[in-house]
Amino acid sequence: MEQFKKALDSLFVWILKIAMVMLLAMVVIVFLNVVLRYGFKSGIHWAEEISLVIVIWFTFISMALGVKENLHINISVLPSKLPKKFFLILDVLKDLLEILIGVILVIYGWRLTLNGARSFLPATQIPNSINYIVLPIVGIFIILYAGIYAYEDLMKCKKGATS
Amino acid sequence: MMNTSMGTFILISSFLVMLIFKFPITFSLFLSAVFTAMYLNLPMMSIVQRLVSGVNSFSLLAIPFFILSGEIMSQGGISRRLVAFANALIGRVRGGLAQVNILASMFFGGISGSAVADVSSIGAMLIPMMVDDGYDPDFAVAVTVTSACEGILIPPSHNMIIFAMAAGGGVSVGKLFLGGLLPGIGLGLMLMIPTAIIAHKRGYPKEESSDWRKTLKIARDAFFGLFTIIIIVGGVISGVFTATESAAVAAVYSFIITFFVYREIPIRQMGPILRNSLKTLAMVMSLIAAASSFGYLMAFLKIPQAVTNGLLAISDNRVVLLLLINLMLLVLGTIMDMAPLIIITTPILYPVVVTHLGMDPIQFGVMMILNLAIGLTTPPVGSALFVGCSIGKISIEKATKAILPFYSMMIIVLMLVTFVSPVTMALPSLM
Repeated sequence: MEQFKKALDSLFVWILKIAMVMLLAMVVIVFLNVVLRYGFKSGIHWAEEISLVIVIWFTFISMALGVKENLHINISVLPSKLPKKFFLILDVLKDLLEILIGVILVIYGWRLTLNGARSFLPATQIPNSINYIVLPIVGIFIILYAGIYAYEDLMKCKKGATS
Repeated sequence: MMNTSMGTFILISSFLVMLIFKFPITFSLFLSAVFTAMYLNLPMMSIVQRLVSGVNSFSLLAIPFFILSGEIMSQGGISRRLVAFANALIGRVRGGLAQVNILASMFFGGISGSAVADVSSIGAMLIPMMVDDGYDPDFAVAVTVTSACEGILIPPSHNMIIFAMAAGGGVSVGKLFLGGLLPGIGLGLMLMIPTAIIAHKRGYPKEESSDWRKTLKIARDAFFGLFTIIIIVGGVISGVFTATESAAVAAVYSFIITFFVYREIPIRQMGPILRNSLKTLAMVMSLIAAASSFGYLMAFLKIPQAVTNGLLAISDNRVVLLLLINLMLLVLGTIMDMAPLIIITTPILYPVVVTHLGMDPIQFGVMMILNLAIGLTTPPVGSALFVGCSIGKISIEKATKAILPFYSMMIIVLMLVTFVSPVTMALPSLM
C-alpha cells in the first residue's frame, strides 16, 4: 500500500505541475490580450476560449488535490467529547462517499466527453470534449486517493477496536 | 407537487446531515444534488455537466489571478512596508501601534482580499510587537482580527466575484469593487474610535515620529505595492479593462514589483507561491463548481421562491425583513465559512432583497459580505479569529470578550450599509 501511494504521488506531482503552469498560462494569455489591444490594436481571438478550457482543467485538478491533501473545508459542530471510534467511522464514511464522487465523475464525465466529440468550440474548432475529458482523469485520482485513505482509516478503526 | 416538497426535503436534509457529520462542504453540496436528482429522475449527466458549466466563466478567472497576486505580494515582504508606511502616518498618536494595525490592514486589503492572509501576515508582525510594547494581548488580537475584515470589502476581493457569480452573472464585478471601497474604509475609521478610547484609558504607548526624509522613502517603498489597487480600481472605473483583465495585470505587476523592485525573495520562490495559491484555490474553485449543481436543483425545486414567500409571510415591513435577513446571515456566518455561504444564500435571498425590497444588487452584495466578514471574527467557527488567537497565544473566549467593543462598531457599519444606500452606492453610481 505504501509503495502504491508513493507511485500515485509521483504521478500526481506531474498533474500538479501542469496545474501550476496552467495558472501562469491563464495570467499570461489574459495579460497579453490587454497589451495587444492597447499596444497593437489587435487581440488573440482564442484568448477567452482557451482561458476557459484552462480554468475548467485547473478547477478539477485542484478538486483532486483537495481530496489528496484534505483541503476541502468542513464544519465542526459535533461535540469533540464523542467517542474517538465515532470520528474514525465518520472518516471511513467520508472516504467512501469521496470514492462515490470519483465514480460519478468517471462515468458521467466520460459520457460527456463522448458527447462533446460531436460539437466544436467556435474560435479554435477544438472538440468540446476537451472541457470534459478532465473529469474522468481526476475522477480516477479521487477514487485511488480516497481508496487509500479508506484503507488507512479502516486499519485505524480496527486498531482502535483491539486496543 | 408531492415530488417537489419531497425533493426539497431530500436536498436540504441530506446536505445538512453530511455537513453535521463533517463531510467536506464542497462534496456535501454535490452529493445532495446527486441524491435529489436520483429521486426526481433527472438525468445525472446534466448534474455533472453543471459542475463544468459552473466554472466556465470569464469573470471567474479573476479569482485565481487575485489570489496569486496577493500571494506574490505577501511573500515578497509587502506587509512590512505597509506597516512602516502606516507607522509613519499615524504611529505617533496614543496607542499608535494599534492604529497602525488598522491602517495597515486597510492598505493590505488593497492587495489581498483575504482576512486570514491579513491576520497571518500583518498580525504575525504586529501582535508580538504590540505585546512587547505593553499592550494587552487580547486587545492586540481583537484589533488585528477585526481590522482584517476591512480587506474583504476593499477591492480586490475574490469573495465579491463569488457573489457576482452566485447572483447569476448580471452583477458587475467592477461596480461591486467600488461599492465595497467606502464601507471598507469606513469600517477602518470606525474601528479606530474604540481603539483610541481604550488606548487613552490604558495609557498605551506612542511611537516615535520619524523625519520627513525617512518618511518619504517609506512612502515611496509602500507606494509600489499600493499601486496595485490603483491599477484595479482605476482600470475598472475608466473602462480600460474588465475586472478579470485588471486581475491579470495586477498579477503581472506584483510579479515585477516583487522580483525586480523589492527583490527580497529569489525568483525560485515562485514554486512555493504557486503551490500555496493552488491550495487556496483548490477549496474555492471546487466549491463554486459543486455549488452550481446544488443551485441548479434549488432553482428546479423553486426553493428561492418558497423562501421569499416564507419571509414575506412573516412581515412585509422592509426594515423588519432586512434586520431579519442580517440576523440570519450573522448567525450562519458564526458557524460556516464565507465562500460557501455566499454561494448558497445569494440565490435564495436575491429575489427577496432585490426583487421585493428593491435593494440594488451591489448594495446587497456588500451587505452580505460584511455580514459574513463579521462571522469570520466570531466563535464557534471564525477563521480570522482562530489564526489571531494562535498568533497571540490566547484563548478564544478571552479574545472574544476583548472584541466586544469592536463588534458594536462593525454592527453600526453594517446598519449603515443596509439602510443608507449612498454609503455603498455613491462610488458605483459614478461608473
